[in-house]
Amino acid sequence: MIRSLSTAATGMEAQEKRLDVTANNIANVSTNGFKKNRAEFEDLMYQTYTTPGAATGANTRTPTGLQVGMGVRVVATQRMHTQGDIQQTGNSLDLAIEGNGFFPINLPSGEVAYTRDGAFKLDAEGKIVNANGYALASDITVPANAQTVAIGADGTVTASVAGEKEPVSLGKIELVTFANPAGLVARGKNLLQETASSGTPIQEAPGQNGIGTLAQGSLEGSNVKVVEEMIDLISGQRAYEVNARVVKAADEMLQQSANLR
Amino acid sequence: MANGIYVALSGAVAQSQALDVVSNNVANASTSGYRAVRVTFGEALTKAKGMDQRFAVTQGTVVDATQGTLVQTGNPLDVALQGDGYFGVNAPQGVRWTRAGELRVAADGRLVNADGLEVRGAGGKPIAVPPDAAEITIGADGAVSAGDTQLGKMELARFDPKSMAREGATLYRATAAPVAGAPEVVAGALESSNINVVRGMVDLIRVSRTFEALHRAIETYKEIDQRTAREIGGPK
Repeated sequence: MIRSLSTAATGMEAQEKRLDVTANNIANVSTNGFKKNRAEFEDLMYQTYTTPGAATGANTRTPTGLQVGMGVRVVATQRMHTQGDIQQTGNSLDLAIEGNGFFPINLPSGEVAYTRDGAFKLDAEGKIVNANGYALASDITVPANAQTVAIGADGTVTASVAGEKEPVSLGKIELVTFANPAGLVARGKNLLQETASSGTPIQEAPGQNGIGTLAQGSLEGSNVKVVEEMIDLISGQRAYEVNARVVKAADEMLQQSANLR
Repeated sequence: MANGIYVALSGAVAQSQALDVVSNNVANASTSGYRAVRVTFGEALTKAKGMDQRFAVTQGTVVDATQGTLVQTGNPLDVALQGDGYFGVNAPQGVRWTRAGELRVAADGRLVNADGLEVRGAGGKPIAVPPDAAEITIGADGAVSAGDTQLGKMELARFDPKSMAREGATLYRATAAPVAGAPEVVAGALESSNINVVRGMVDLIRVSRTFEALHRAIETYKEIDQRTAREIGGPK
């Protein structure tokens, strides 16, 4: 019974973590390029009193074992890299990736981070930067006299400059993919970073090998679906409640035993 | 001393073990691929002074093989098994079987489960996904393909539920050879735990009430013994 108290506690703890994950998903329902997380559960080890199939005699075996489990834990939070809804914004520096790629971003520390948030801007020098002012790794500078900037589906950036007949080529935006994008670690500010389990970044031009194409004037919204999160919230809360009941039942039973004397 | 107090005690011990099983079920209400445990009770017989006494014991735990609900997730690497059976993974301690289908691609391209154990392909070989694979699809027979190229086929098997020993991490060890047949793989979905919360609550009430009744019996035996000691043994 002492065990069922702690077993139910593992259940409550795991549901609490799930609630934390759900709360973060709901909080980021309007965050560009946000990918929702999911808590994944697994059962803990089992105390085996009798192994199924253990010999009970020369020719007989136990048909079933006797195993009592120790509860549950959250084994992982998996980021779901499904496509978010793409919204038209009309802003020429808003980019959405239709596919699996990420934009590489140079951090001030010299490291590279990756994002799906394509709400880019220009800084004082005309460099393409994200909302935090971190430059796009492809390092593209838009001249001050540029009238319009066009970004093709394949990432080529051109600008029409006053006095020039032909549009001026400014460079190419490259994207990266990972063998296991779910293995990237979230750093906040819509940024992800490489880990040993994500694999090394594979750089490609947009449109190559399924890396996705760019859509100018659009933004990828969050892939959080509020209805799904609400259902998760309800079932998580109920599961928490049921585990709390088990704690209460075990406590009452222990009390009865304690009162015997 | 009345021996019946030990019979009541054996029942109370068995019920407290049953509570441990119920609480594990309830704790795993959100574990995908988890299958409920049912506890079976039996009697142990002793002949004492020509009188039979039956003690209650927990005989065993069996896997409840009822299908859990399939929840659509839209993630192509989530697989649910429809029908009885398991898919194989290579654990450090050997081949293990599971129904928890939260699969992913490891950094080296192997298809692995949530714990990073590789999914067994044909002949126990890992299923390797090339880094430039665009869309991975998993067929009803467990065939994993990227576009038109088949990368491997998940090893599926069916066992007598009684021969499956639990090891935690939603893994099972088979203690007997597989039986004929295989489950169907549904990609883009997860099988939720087959715990029925209502049944969990009913089990909880039944266990706690039975436990209470057995305590009453112990209490009564205690009173009988007390009265015997007081009324027969003591001075008037």
